[in-house]
Amino acid sequence: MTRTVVIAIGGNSLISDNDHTQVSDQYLAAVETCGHIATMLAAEELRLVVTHGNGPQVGFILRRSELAAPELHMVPLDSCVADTQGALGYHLQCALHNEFKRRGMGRVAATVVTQVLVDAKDPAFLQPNKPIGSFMNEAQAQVHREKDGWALVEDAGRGWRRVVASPAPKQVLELPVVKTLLDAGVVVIACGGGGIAVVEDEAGQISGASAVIDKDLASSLLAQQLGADLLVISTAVEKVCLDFGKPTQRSLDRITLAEAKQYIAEGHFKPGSMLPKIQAVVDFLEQGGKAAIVTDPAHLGAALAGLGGTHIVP
Amino acid sequence: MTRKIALLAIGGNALLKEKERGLQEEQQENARETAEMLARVVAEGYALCVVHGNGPQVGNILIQQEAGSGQIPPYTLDVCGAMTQGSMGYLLERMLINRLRFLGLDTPVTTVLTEVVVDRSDKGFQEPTKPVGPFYPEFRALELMRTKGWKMKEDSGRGWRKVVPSPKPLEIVQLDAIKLLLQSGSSVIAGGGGGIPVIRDASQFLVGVEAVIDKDRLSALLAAQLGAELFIILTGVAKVAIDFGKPSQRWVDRLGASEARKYLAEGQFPPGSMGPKIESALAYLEGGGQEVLITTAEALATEDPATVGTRIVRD
Repeated sequence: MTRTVVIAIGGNSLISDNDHTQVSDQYLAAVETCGHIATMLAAEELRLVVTHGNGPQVGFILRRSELAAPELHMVPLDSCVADTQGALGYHLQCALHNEFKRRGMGRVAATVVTQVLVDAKDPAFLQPNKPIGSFMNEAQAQVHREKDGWALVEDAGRGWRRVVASPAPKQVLELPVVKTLLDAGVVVIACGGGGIAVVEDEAGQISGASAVIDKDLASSLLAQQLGADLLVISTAVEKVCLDFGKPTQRSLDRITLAEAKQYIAEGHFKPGSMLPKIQAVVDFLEQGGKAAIVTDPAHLGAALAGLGGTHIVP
Repeated sequence: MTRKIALLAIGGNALLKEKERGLQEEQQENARETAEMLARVVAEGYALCVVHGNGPQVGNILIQQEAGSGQIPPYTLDVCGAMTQGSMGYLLERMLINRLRFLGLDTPVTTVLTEVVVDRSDKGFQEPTKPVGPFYPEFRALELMRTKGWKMKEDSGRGWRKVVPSPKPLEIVQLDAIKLLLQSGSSVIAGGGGGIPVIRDASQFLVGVEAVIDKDRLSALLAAQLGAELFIILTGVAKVAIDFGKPSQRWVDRLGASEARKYLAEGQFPPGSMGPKIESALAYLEGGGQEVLITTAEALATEDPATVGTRIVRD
């Protein structure tokens, strides 16, 4: 039985650092990541969905949009996320295509632009807390608050920044399409940047939301809805650590769902970093997922064979 | 039962009209109107594939790349085109889903990012002719030509513009995925902006190139390769005319391919307007296509599907 796997790769796997932001650098980062994904697929024929983050890339689009504001309207957030699904999906599908060709593998990749439904009544909309875009001074902040209805927060000493809601993902609208492609053996790139956040009214009509969805939570939801066997979260570290950064730091090879929840409760994982990843894993396992892995891109192949990374089981 | 496939090509200006600023509200309203027309084709029972242009939208993205170039490295044209496939696909998809739901047809709509292979020895690469992006002052144009190797041309006193090749589309990389989704009951938005142009290098690897593929040419190729039963080309007139503008002018309901080819050779269809549409139609029919419908968006949205527009059919 072919295993169904969802792998979430970080937006940072697609940009190595701030000195490497040229298109060619971004493409090379995608090539490296796709090489590791192809290694996984060479070892085991999987029904595979690749999801990705877009943090740095959305930042670029917003910054450019601000700098071009004298000439052009600002790009709305849902459209920004859709832009990054286009740009990053293209790089990933092209890099995967070439990697499959190089290894003589008969696989193909396709990107599906993905909308993810959120609840218009999600409490996150009342307390937007996800900072996006550039810092600005108080006067500029005032203008955006009044003219554009933005929520803004002051970051001590650095100025004001726009904050948007980060609601919980409820439904991946393109789920049937992703299934159709997986059934045909296509490697599917979906849910880029956590998906384009949309809300639905009583009549079933959907509209874009000024919100961003955590890509690990969206990937977990997709894995649940697909009935996936395995959720893999690719991040900057090979293994999940307890007491991260302390002298008592220790890495984890294999933990249970109960242990994962206990470590969350004990405050081992940093919000905005490891915490949403472990939360995504917990959600997946609680909804019937059989196993999850957290590791870095270089250890993907080994981790799938059970030889690396942190494995979380029910 | 396999549904018949209809491929419909719309211009980028269907979403961002001339004189509009391209505000999201404007584009949404335009997309809503477009979706009503698209939903009609779906309601007729066709599996619908939509190809959209992206001229005005990619133009805006290029303005933003330049405005931000002091701080953020600009993206290349292929990546900018991919961005428009994402955001325009999303907008059209969302509006079409809404319209279909309104009609009680809750079928999926998907946007597939589409790469299109061109030949790197295409003569377009030696002599780039297609202007893209903003006008630049001379000092900046000279700098860009020197540092980035761009080809640029002065445009009758308005400033300098980048020119890129417009090579012929040869192969649609995601063809099988598009076909599969259409067969599975989804409407598919594909080949946006004519596709993301890539070449095959010596090792057969795909490499993105800075070029623009003509959307109508790509549509004809995609329609033929999908085996689409109907290829819909939208234009500014409700029907094709013979002897257009003369006292002997007549509107045509139906034309055979060879008749259309004869009229084209006689110069009945002006280059830059109806000419390229008829050429696309013939390219599709020669590639194995069955039927072409040429009409306006308004007519397609409102008139009787049986008599609307001009049909060009195989001999």
